[in-house]
Amino acid sequence: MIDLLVVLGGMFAAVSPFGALAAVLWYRRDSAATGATDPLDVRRLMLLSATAAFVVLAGAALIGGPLLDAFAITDSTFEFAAAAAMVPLAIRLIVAGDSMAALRRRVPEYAWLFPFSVPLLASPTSVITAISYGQRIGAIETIIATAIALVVTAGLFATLAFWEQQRLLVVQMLGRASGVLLAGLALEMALDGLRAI
Amino acid sequence: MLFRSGMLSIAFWIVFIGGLRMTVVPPEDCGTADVDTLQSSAIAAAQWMERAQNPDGTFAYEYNAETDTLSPEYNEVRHAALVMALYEAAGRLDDPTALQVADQGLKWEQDHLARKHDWALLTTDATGGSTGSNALMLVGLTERRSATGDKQYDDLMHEVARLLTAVLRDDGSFSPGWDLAADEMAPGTSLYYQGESTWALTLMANAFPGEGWDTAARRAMEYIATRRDDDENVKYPPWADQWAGYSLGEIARWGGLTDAEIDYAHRLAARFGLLVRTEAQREGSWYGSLLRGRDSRGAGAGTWIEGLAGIWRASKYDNRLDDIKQSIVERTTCIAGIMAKRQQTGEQAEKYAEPSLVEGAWFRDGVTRMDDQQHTFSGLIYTIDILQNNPIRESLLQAGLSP
Repeated sequence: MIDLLVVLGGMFAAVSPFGALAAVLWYRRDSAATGATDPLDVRRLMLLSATAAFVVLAGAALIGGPLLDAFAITDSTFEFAAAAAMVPLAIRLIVAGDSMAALRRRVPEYAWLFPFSVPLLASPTSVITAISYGQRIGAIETIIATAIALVVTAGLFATLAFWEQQRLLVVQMLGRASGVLLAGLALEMALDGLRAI
Repeated sequence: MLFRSGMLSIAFWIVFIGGLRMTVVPPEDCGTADVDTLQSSAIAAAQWMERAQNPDGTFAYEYNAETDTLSPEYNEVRHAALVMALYEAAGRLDDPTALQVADQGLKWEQDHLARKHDWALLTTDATGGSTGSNALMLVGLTERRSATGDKQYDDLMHEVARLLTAVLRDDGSFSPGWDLAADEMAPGTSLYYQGESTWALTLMANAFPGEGWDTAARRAMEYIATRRDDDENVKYPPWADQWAGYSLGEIARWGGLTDAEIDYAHRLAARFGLLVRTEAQREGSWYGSLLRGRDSRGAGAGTWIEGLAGIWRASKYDNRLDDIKQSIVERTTCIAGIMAKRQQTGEQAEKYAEPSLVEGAWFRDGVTRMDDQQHTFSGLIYTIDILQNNPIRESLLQAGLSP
């Protein structure tokens, strides 16, 4: 149970639902301000981005072992890489409060897949994190934790109308909190890499 | 706009992940670590130690193959360790030459003994002797007894063991030696001698059960696990102490390792593991080699094998170490495979002026020292135990006989 909570914390921070929500809210606010057509269909965003991210991350958790073997990397050493990979996203979240500060504008037709599922929900950070937790704690736990984090994300997208009525600052603060959590987990992962055999 | 941003993001991650690959997770290569490979390597190392003996029983201390020069230095602690390793070779490899050579080395030790009170002290200058050399001499004697069943040195073993308990303080720390002039234990402590002496007392307890040596050994082990690194101001504890690893293996066999000692075993295994992973990265690619610096010498990497093998042995007797058992096997076989690959072959040795001091040895910057072979040899034979899932260290016990 504790293992599952650890993975859940890690995957929640790496997927960063509130960071993603902040990015979507920014995008919609910018679209509305410029009068541009909004290609983001909330239902599609909710279903497809979460599903696409789940497939990518669950796959990463499952194939992590053979992948690390193929690259001749031990699980323990990979934790250092995972920790390092968490840092850029943690910085982005802490500074901007959303996961896509540089990419949030003018999202085209396939926004549900790219860039939302790749750099945002299933970013290199969350892929590397899924591989690392898959090896360290277990693929099943990682998949369950990923599913929970993505269900929360889908829930946030589903309630976009509610969040649009809130001050963006609230969501950004939650995104920043995810960044702090991610930075803490990066530190924990690096220390675990040192403590691991 | 989106395309440019997306490409920039992808470019960033490609560079970032490429950078991680180059700097944080370069490929690791472990070489081959099967029983035959490791046994061949151990035999070659044992033969180096046999060839390196001088007529007076000492050994070639340090040899530079590039300049074909021998160092004039000598060190009695390393001498005692080499004799110990040769007795291991005698028992574990069934090597009669090793026994003969080790006995010559033991004779040199006996010629340098001072006797006071009720103990014996190995001393090279008659002003005092180090705890470490005496501890390793005692380990060598226990190895000889275990290899041959010969009890002719039992009295000497007790004399040396009594010295060790004479320099063991109430808090479990050992004095670094005995000052013969002042006739008192030397002040301070030694980072190295603590583990050596602890292990020696554990083996003494195994050889002579019921005599109370185990009580002293447990006290010394508790000091290592809880206070030694602080007292020695070790910057990044735990200090990678293979002797402590050996000691844990023996005490675990008796049962009753404390929680603090189990925690220490975990931390110690992790330290060795980190060193092994780094070494495997040196081995795995040119950029890994570039970033991680030059290869570790045999006297360094060999101790990691020894330490890990000792903790593996502990894990066979104490299920609180079950969680790290498999990782220990992986790391130990990894570094053993690396060292077997780096050993100088007969063909490579022919290129040098003195091939007999090259073949079977581990060199760094053209230089090998006696303990490069000693530590790596011991590590290799205990890795064979791991591959054969054999937690019994003593030769005769392995053969089903009582030493």
